[in-house]
Amino acid sequence: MRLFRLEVKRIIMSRRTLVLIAVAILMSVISAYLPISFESINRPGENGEVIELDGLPAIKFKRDYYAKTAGDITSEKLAEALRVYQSCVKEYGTLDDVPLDVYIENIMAIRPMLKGLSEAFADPKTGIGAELMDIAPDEVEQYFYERCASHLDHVMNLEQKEYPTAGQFAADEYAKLKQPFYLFPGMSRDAFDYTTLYILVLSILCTAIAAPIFANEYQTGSDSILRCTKYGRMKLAVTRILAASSIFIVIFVLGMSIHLLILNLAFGTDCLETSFQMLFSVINLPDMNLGQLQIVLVLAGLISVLAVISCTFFLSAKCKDSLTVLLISMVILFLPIFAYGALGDTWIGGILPSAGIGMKNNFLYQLCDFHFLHIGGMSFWTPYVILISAVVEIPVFMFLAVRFYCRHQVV
Amino acid sequence: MRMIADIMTPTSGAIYYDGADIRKMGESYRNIFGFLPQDFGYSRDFSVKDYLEYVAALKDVPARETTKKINYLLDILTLSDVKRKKIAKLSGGMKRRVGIAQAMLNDPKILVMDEPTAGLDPGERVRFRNFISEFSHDRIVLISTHIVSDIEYIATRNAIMKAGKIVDIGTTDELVKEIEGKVWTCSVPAGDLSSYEMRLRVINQRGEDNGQVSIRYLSETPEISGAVAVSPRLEDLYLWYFPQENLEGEGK
Repeated sequence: MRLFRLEVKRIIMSRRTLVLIAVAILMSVISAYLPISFESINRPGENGEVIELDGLPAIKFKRDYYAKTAGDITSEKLAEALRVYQSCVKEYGTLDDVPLDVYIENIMAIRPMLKGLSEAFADPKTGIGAELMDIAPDEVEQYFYERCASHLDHVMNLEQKEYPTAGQFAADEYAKLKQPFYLFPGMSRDAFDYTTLYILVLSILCTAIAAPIFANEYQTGSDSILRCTKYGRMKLAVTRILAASSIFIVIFVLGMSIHLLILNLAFGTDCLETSFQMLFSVINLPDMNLGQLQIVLVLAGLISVLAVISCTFFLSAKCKDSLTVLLISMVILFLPIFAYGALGDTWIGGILPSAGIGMKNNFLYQLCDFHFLHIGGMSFWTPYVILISAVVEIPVFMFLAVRFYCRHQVV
Repeated sequence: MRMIADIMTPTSGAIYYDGADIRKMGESYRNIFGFLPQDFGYSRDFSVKDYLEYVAALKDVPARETTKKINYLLDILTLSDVKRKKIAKLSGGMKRRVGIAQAMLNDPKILVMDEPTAGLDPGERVRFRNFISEFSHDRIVLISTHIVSDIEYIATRNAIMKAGKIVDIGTTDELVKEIEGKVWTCSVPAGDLSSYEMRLRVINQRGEDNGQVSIRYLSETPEISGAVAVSPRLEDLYLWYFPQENLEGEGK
């Protein structure tokens, strides 16, 4: 414990670590502020002029407004909303012709719940979403959730035609979803994008802190002294890894807590009750609400970050200088992003420690998508592949780091 | 030395301590071992005190004894005033002394130091010699140095290594006996000095008032009439084994 405490102190007191921690905290605030600042709404003023609200005032206006329509999205409620929408649009010709005050009074509140209708009633052959004006409210009232399930089947047929096991998996998962969906509109999708972006930033910062953990000692020659001490081999390596990992967990949890606290205070915790399907796609598979999604993203992000830094520990124990470790670690960190862009979903992209971190390949997008990796006749949903790979890699890389550190020869 | 420190694996052979292979002894060997490498490396963010506390923990020095032990060593090595300073900001001599302090934290039974006095001023070197002399009772202290005067009077056994091989071993008296009658001194005219330097291995010269220069040189025979044989010192032996042209050759 004494060695652990001193090791934590050694890492924390490094100027490099202090700067990177400060950057991590600052970025948590910035990445929460940006999606808040993107919120805006136009509303009619008392004298008929258009008032533009941005940021927090816009969010507050929307929250007060949406509170009236929040609740379970039953088929009946959806059909009634569609009727209101269609009659309003019919009266003025097109949606664009609807006056602002009428739009705010009659349509704005029901738009978030109507979003899923286009998808559910999409063309089964092309997958193109239906026009709201073309959907029959009676059909919505009778078959909305059945149409969601059949749309999922169509999508799986389009995307995973050769892999019936993937289609079966999706159908089974979808059947487990709690229905009717719940909606409290207001939460921004941008907020989740920025959460995943912040996880990428944290990964970069933690990698930069982890890179010199062993390699810097080799580089400065202090390793020659430390490995001659009683606890300078395995115990030091294990303690270092545990101390650094503990610091990363604290940085990650602290950074994410600040980030999510700001977001949730701004957008309101009521929005977190919204079903995953009502913010993203009505045919998405995760059985969770937005609050649970935040927790899942934090846990999956933490596992991915730990897998990335475990790999960095291994490289740090293997290579002789910090810069080489940093460069290789960064390549590994960004590799899934480029691999996904170039090759789409591949096993290589899926099993890398950083597979769940990135832009289009991040864990959130994997949850929203229907990407599967296949071995023979078996299909594996990519979020599971990413998580299981990362969980397996953490102890493997840590073990390798200890082993390579103990076997290192001073030359 | 790195092999003795068990941080480098010998390509052949083994090193034994009290009949046990040090590689197999592992932690129990490192527990009685202290090491100062030639290049003293440290983490740039460590203060002297933090660094010594860290090494003490690695050496399993009991927590309650650590502060006392550190203060004692800092006092002996005249580092007490800088114990809260960053090591990176210390002078070369002070860094070296921090290196010596860390090596001695666990009262090692085997202390290995590579060029421990590099960068120390004459006063510090004298203090170091006395400290090591006192410390070395019932212990193995192995010092590698090019500064022969550091160990001349305190070493019980000297080994001379040349190109990785031990060429001679023994006490200072035993070793210097080998060049008895081969160290000479005489006075020569200052103007002729360069010709003598070309002919002989002049190891020391001192100007005198009357246009003469007193020289000390190594030779099998007197070579200069009036030259007197003097008592050899360990430094003479070192220069006997390592002629200047060889050193220059090694440097190149």
